[in-house]
Amino acid sequence: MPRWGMVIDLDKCTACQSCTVACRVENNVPIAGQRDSSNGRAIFWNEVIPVIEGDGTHLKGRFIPRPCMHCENPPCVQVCPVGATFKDAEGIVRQDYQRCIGCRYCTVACPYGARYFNWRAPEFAESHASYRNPDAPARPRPVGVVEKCTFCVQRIERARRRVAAEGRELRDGDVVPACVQTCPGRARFFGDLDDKHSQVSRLARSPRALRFLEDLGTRPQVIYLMEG
Amino acid sequence: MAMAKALIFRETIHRLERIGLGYVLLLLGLVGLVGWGASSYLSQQWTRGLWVTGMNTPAYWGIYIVNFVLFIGLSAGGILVAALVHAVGIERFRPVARIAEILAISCLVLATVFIMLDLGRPERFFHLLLYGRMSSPLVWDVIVINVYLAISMALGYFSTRADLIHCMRELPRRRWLYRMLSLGYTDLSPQALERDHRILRTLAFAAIPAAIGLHSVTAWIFGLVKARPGWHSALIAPLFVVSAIVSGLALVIVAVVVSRRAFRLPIADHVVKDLGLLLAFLIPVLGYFLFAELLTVVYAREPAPLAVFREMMVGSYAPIFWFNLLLGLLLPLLVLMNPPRRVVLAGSAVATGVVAIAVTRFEIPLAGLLPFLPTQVALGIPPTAIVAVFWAFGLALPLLLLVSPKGLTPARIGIAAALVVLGVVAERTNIVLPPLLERLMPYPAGPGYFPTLVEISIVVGTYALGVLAFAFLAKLFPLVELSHEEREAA
Amino acid sequence: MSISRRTFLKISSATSAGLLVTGRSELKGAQEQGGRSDAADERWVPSVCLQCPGGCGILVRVVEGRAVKIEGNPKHPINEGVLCPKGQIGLQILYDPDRIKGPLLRVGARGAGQWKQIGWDEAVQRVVSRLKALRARGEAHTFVFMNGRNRGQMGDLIGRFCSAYGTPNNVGHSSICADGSALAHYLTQGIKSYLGYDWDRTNYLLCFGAGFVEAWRPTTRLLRAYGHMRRGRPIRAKIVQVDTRFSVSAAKADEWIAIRPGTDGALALGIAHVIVKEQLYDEAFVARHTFGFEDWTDAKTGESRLGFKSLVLREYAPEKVSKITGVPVETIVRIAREFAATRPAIAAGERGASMQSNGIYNRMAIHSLNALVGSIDTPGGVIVQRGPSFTAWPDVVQDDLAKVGIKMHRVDSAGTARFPLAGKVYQGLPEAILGEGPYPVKALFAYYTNPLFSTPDVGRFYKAIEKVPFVVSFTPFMDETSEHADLILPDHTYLERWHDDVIYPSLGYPVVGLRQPVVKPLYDTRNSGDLLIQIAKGIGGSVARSFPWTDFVDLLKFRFRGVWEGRRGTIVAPSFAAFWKKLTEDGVWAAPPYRFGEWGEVLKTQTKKFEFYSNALEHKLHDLAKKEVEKAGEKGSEVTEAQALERILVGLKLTARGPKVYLPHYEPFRAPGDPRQFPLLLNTYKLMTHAEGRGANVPWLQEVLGVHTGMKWESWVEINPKTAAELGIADGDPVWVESQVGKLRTRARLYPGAQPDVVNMPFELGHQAYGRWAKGRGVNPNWILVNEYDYLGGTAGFFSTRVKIFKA
Repeated sequence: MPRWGMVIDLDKCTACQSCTVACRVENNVPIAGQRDSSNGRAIFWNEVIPVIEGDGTHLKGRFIPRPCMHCENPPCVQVCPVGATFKDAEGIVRQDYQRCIGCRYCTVACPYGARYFNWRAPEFAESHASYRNPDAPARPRPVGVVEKCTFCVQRIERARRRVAAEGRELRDGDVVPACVQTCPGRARFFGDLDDKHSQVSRLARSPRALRFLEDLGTRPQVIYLMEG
Repeated sequence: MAMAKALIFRETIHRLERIGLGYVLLLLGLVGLVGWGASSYLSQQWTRGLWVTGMNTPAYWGIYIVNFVLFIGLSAGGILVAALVHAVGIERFRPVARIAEILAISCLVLATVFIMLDLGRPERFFHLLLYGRMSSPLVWDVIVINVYLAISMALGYFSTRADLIHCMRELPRRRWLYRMLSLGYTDLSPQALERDHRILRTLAFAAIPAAIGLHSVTAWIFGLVKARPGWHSALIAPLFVVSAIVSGLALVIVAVVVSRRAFRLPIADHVVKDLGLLLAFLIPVLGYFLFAELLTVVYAREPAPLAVFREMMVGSYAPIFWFNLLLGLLLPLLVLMNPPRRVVLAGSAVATGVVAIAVTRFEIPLAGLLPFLPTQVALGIPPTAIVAVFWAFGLALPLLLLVSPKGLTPARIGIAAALVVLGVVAERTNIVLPPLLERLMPYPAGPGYFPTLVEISIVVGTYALGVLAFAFLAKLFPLVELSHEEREAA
Repeated sequence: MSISRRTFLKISSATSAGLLVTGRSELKGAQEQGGRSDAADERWVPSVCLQCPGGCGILVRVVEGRAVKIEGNPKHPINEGVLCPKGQIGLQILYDPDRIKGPLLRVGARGAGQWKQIGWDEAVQRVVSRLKALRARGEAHTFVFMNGRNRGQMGDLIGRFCSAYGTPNNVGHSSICADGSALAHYLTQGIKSYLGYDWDRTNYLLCFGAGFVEAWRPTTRLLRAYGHMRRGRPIRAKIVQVDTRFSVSAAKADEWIAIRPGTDGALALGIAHVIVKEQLYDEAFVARHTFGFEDWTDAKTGESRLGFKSLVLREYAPEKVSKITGVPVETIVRIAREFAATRPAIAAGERGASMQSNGIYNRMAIHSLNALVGSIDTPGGVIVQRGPSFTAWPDVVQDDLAKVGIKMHRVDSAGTARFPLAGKVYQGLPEAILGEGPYPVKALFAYYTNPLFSTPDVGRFYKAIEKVPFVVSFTPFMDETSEHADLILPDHTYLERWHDDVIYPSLGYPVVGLRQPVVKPLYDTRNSGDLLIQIAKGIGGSVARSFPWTDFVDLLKFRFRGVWEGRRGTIVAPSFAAFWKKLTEDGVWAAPPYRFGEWGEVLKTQTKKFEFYSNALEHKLHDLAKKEVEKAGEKGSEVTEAQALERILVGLKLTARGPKVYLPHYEPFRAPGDPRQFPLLLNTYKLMTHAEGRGANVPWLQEVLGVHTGMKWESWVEINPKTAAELGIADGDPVWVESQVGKLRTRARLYPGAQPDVVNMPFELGHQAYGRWAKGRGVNPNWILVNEYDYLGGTAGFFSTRVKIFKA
């Protein structure tokens, strides 16, 4: 049983936001529009956070792509009163849209801000509905529940079926989430953290490796490699 | 003497059936507000989702949760008084015990209403029972609220039963109603009454840990969330307990002062005064907890909690914070202590001096704290309109204090208590909202939070529902327990 | 959007009802049953992206006839399977609800938006008769063909159409894009094109005013290169960004050098000064492959000429350069030493340096640095893009009408003494149309270009287009230009048509991708390639004979036959049919690797060397001067060549005289207007999410518009916080930005990365047309940009505008 994890190399990241867009396409995340965007109602399973500090010519700019961290000790799962958010057997923090009561305790408890409440029903303008990803786990969510990054679980399933058809086991690199596949700087890596030889576990052992807000004991399964 | 008592007894009971024009208008008004709130909910929030509220990412929670916490806290007054009367046996508070119990139950019910209002999928509330997970403090709260509610109902029942039966006998037209309410247990023999008394005593004792549990668990909904530095504190549970007792008691005082006039209840001035005194003792305890929390954060200067407190103390939530501290705690305390005018003047002089020195010595950005009305209203910073009303109300009071020579009247105690309640509204607002806006990851600032008209309508409607329930109960049975002598005399 | 509440409720309840079956149980079910999509008809179709000129290969997932996801094509060497955000959003272009659904004929007033749907036969007939009539009157040259995204064979096809028809006025868009760079390459290397760079092997990048990870081209290739330079190999390259603002590229660089707008050339020369003075340059390369470094003597005249070395030593000491650029002396010296000591190193530059009033000289100066350190045609240096061996075009058949027409002066004065080096002056057309030109414009085609949006001082074009009696647009979208057209002949979107795409100069070796329909065309649209062939056939005669192909695919196959015959690269096949089949499967043909050392391909100047001293420029200006002398002679006045040259230089607003004119030097940056009235300089820039103004109707892009400011769905102007404080402007305030041309109302963003006297506005928004999400949203800085030129190349100065800002 793999334990899925992701590595994001901030030194290779170009802040292009391709991950953000690819994620929204792949996972049928609806468009919020101007009003809802400025009112804080837009949903980003993956988001690039800008951090620009300093003044004059002494500025430091940093851009942090932020998917769900899929913590080993997820605070969101701990606080969910109905078990609508849960950690699946492969370490992915998932959301059961049919069970969620919309109390938003998990959104409050997530230190990373990776969970989004869908304040309104998803809408697709006319012909825009045509491009919706038909894969079942990516179907648009009903209004009033919390949604989040799934590590593109539908792609994991697809990879499994493909591999099964080929009559072999999953190998490193078989599963590629949308954000990883599109990343132009090749800054994102995905794989099995329990497999010592996988690319992600090798990178996770890098001296540049860092897990955000590690002191909270959440043990994120998304590991960042620092710049410089 | 006995005749007079008997007369009061009859009068009290028969007044229940007299419905004046004022009362009808009040009911109509309240029903109107409830209807307005309900229609706002059904036509907007139910159909279009929480999108119609002012909540957003990251202000995931808004005034529904503020009110949930507030009403959980306000319910504490009932238990305090019940414990004092039924467990400790302080008879002088017996006349206000029933009001306190009614308040406790209504506040709890309102709190659950507010939780329901906050859900994105309210029709799935039963999932809490079906799939409840013990790891979630929200589930603990569901349990403890139900336990507490059961105890409160039982307390209410056993302390009202005798009066219900008297009413049944005196008011034949409502006989069926009182029989139903008394659950058919109509035995008024001394043995039965004695048993009621024993049960009441046991319940009152049981209610104390239940109350502490209730307020602690509610606090832990917040305090156990490590992602929110403004909440994540061990002190938050005791703080909630004290704050609940203070606000609950204050609410009891307000209700007593208002209803003794409105329903001409036989509650003596000295009872109100004693309640006020009790409040005056408790306010400093709350102040102490707040100070301890504040000192820890400000002294340690850990960035995340400090950012929350900065937002609270000098940021956009400063008006609410300083209202809570100055007009919600300090001023009521002064009023209740009723010091001689010389002391007030001297104290003010010293306080002004201290503030002046502190401001110059520590370069406190006074500008951020004081000129709230002109600048911050102009900037449209948070719930300005509401807060402005609070401040105006609060600022009128010192004048009253200095102008009126009458000393500590029940009305004044009522006003002081009302200020305390409003102060706790402010405190709850600041406990719930600012920590949501500060994020551990370096996100750009969000849009902030301001409730929408829909949200405010629904909250006001819910308040009206509470008042409506109280007004209704006031005509259902005597708000003051019929005294033993009165019953005997009758 | 006008959705009534009732419909809204209906939609939302229907959506939620339809969704009630999702959830954990279904996830499990999907796992067991194989899910819905796999049971259905699902294909991956290779094609080529068109959001920028990069030419990235894509794979489109098509389920039941609907395109549902676009990924990078791993076989395409320019993007190797990855894709930038603009590539990702193609589905919202294909399924844009505001697309033009068939040919439209204007029935109301220009721009009033009243159209009649007509059939294709009628539409073609109208164009043909109009063009035929024009030609018959001997006015073929009054037909102007403006074109923008003319990728692959479309560029040549349009050129061929113009030649056969008989007009010199094939007006591409590159004079508002980045012609400054191409012309600088022409003057120094003899190659009038953008250059490739061997990013993967360079160890030092000194980048002047190019949005390396935002806006430069080819986007995905550069993003890939960035990742590779940082952590894709053992040595981490250093990246230094010279920029007028703290761009994302500056933030992602190791060092940001803040520079005054338009002074990049001076900084490059200051760096050259240090390198020369400290003898850090590559002496072998300079000696063998360059011309004009040392002082030299003209063999013909015996005159002693100034060399680059003497020029930089004499005029560009760091102290002086520091005063011009605002860059500290120590920084100039340090960067010079780093740049010269780290091999291989690349000095690159783009719009920020080149699209200035002094842009060509700036770019020459920057490019000279590459020659100084020998970074021309070396691993990790500058490389020259080679093209695929397409079958040569058959000669254009020209009748007399065409022969006369084609020899007429260009209407935009490109190549004249006014714009000596220009091949086209796109943004100069309004003046030409409004009376300054040699003749009126009687017909105008616009193929994938939108002059009513993308030219500086764009209001001019609105006036000009009124004067053109016949305007035809080919775009699938109702952009500003289409809205003012008489006839719209909507093309397919790029996901519905056959089209080839030769990559943007980058990898060096030849690469061509094939765009093919991934879904059937959604609407009654038509491939403009087919259409042009049809129109040519309709005109008949020699024009028709110039186009012997049945349709555009036939033409593509004709051209690709030559590639097949080359029998090299990734596809070698026994027959052309097999070659074509494989091409449709792979989506791309490429012939790696890049061949170093073919100097004849790399240095195409007269001297076959890298010319610090540009003979081409000298000859061009002297030829023009001679013509002036002749012209004057015809009129009977006596003018010497020197006088004529002086007059030309004055016309070009150049301050240099003598040999310096032909050497990279710093021409003072021009920003017209009174600095007291307009104290701030307006800097415009492109965002990563900027798909050449065509992304404006794409919600996916709008919703992630400015990553560094967090702004979405609206425009902004970046102001330094201190400047803003002086002006009493707070973050988020609505403000007016006013220049001498006009003013715009937008939102202020306090941004520490804005220099105190420079404010920054991004392009992309501010459409008056295009679709529901684009129209009326944000502002287009082009409305207030002064139309300043680099007259030498006829290129637009996009950074020459002075503004003032005040609270709205």
